[in-house]
Amino acid sequence: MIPQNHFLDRRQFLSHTASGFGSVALASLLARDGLLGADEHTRESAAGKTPIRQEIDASNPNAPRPAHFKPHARKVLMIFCSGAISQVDTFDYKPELIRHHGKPMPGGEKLVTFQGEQGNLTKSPWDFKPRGQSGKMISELVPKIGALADDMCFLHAMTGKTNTHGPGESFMCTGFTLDGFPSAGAWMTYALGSEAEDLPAYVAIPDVRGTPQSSVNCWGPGFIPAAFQGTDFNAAKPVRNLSIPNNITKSSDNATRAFLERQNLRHLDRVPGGTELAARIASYQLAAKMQMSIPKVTDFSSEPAHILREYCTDESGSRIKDLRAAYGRNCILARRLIEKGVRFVQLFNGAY
Amino acid sequence: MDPNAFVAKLDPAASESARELIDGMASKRARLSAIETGDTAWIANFSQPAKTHRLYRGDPMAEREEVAPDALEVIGSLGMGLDEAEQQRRVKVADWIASEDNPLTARVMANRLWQFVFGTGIVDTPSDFGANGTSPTHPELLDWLAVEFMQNGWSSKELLRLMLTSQTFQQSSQPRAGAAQIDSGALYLWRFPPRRLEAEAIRDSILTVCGTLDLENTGGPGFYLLDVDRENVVHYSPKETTGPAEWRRMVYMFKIRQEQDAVFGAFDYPDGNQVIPKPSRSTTPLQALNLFNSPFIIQQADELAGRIGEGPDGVARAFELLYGRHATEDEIGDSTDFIADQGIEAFCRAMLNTNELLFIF
Repeated sequence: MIPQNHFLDRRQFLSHTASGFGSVALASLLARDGLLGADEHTRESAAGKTPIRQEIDASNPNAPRPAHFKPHARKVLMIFCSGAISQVDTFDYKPELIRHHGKPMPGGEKLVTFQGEQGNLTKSPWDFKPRGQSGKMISELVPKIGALADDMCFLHAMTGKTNTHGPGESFMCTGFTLDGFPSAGAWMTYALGSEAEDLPAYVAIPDVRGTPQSSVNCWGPGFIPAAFQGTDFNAAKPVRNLSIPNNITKSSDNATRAFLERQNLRHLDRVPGGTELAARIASYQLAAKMQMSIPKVTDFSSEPAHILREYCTDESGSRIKDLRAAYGRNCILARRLIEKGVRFVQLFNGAY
Repeated sequence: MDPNAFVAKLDPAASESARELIDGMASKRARLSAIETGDTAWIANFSQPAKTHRLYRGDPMAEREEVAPDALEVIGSLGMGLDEAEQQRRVKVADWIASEDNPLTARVMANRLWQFVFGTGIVDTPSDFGANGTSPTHPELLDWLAVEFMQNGWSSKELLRLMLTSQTFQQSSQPRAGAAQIDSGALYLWRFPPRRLEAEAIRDSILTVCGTLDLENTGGPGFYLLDVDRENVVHYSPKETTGPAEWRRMVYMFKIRQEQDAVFGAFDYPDGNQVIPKPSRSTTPLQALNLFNSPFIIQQADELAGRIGEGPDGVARAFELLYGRHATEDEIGDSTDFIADQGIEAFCRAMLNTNELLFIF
């Protein structure tokens, strides 16, 4: 699962990071393993070496695990506009494309892709202007973002090997066009655990219109344990099975959980020494805490009116305005989750 | 022993039901034999494969010299020629894999079966017996099991029988003073290491104890736990409610890549596009939420409540059904009081969440 030579050289590292987000966490993970070396609980391999495996306490898989250095960034908010406007219409100024406008792609005359035969090249219909002190060329399509040009970092070095939505989304979120690889957030959670025990360790916020074409693969665990997958909910659709079932009162719910705990403790008395048994008892207490803390994050009543307005959450009346308001609410949710200690939040705009 | 001689010694009622079972067995055998000797199916046309070339750096556009089908050089050679007949290629690979001289196959299979039975294999990297895998905890035992396996005609049933009737499997999971300090994870099996059931077994168990498991529809087309929306691409969303059509063993569930069941997906259920030699077994609060609050559990708890019935007999029945044992006095007292306060459905909801139901120990 992990390359045998875990001291990636610089070139290997760059080739990994160029291929998407997943490898960022992987690199930190590998460094950690290299630093910590053998763990007394890890079985030695047949070759006499210690296998590279993250030591995870299965009874609390999301317990925080320290990084091997003091990190500059402690949280990640990944805003993914799947199927969004093209980079050549927004931030990626392509003078060559303007010169080749209306001509076939050089060297690509016989190229046939998934979408069929290729037409001629087309320049962006929007003009680009230098913005900010840096003079960064930005299209007039995004004037408000353009005004912030000096506050942003643009990385125009990303390439991919697919021009199709699903594999492209997988590539962005996992670093691979094929299914089956862990998402960036899953890697991060696997490597570092969570600092907010009463919230999901890793949250994916899908668009109100649905999931991306690559669906839950964007926050899936791939081949690492399922405990590290993202929990998906948004401002409109709460965490599944979080609330007390219909027709059950809060007091009855508490009494039932208390009875369950008494029965589990009686069992633990008879079969002592099982950490998994104790962990399951604790997981119900943690679940009850989540039932309290998640609604606090999703309740925006403490947000000032001007903030809600800035996020456009008061807009309504047309489909576009409704969508903008819904996305604004998801943005606020993402910010609040980050503030409450969720390490990795993935915010989606667009659905298939 | 002749079954008829045995039946003759039973009392009339037992003898009658035994005869029914024997007759049922005969008709099932007849059906089985009809299936085995029934129509044969057409599978494929066989044709000689195209030439195989070494691909420079794995690039399909960079063909180099022609090569014959073979194993990796470090493992050995199958001695096949460039024009080896199509069928012979597979026969030789199969013979090589299942050869008694091949040290791997029987060991790997014995180790897998050991893992199914005890939770952890003698080698705990079941798909890696190489340099990156871990060493066996009991190498001689693994060798012996592998030889037993081959000598019994590669019968996994016989090997399982051997393991399940062993003292090691049948020992209790009670801790022993001293042993826990040396080997707390019971790697050396001084006790049976308790472990949580996997997702499929939890769901099957719940349906079984609630009396809702459909035992008629074994085999045949599968069932969906997801609603299917066939648009340009197919969309799936978890079913909010399930009924008898979905109350079949989970092995018959249509497994959709990248889509997890709303309740049991959280229980380390491997994705449909993964080959997982050893599922992880984690404990998370999301599992607790799913098993405590999902419509599935509430519905099954209601079914269980109807099945066990009211009163002290109901409590006793619940413990027998869920745990296969009698309730203690303490348990009867606490349960009866709880039911008086919160009702029998709440009692069933709690019981379906208990460790004793969800763990093998």
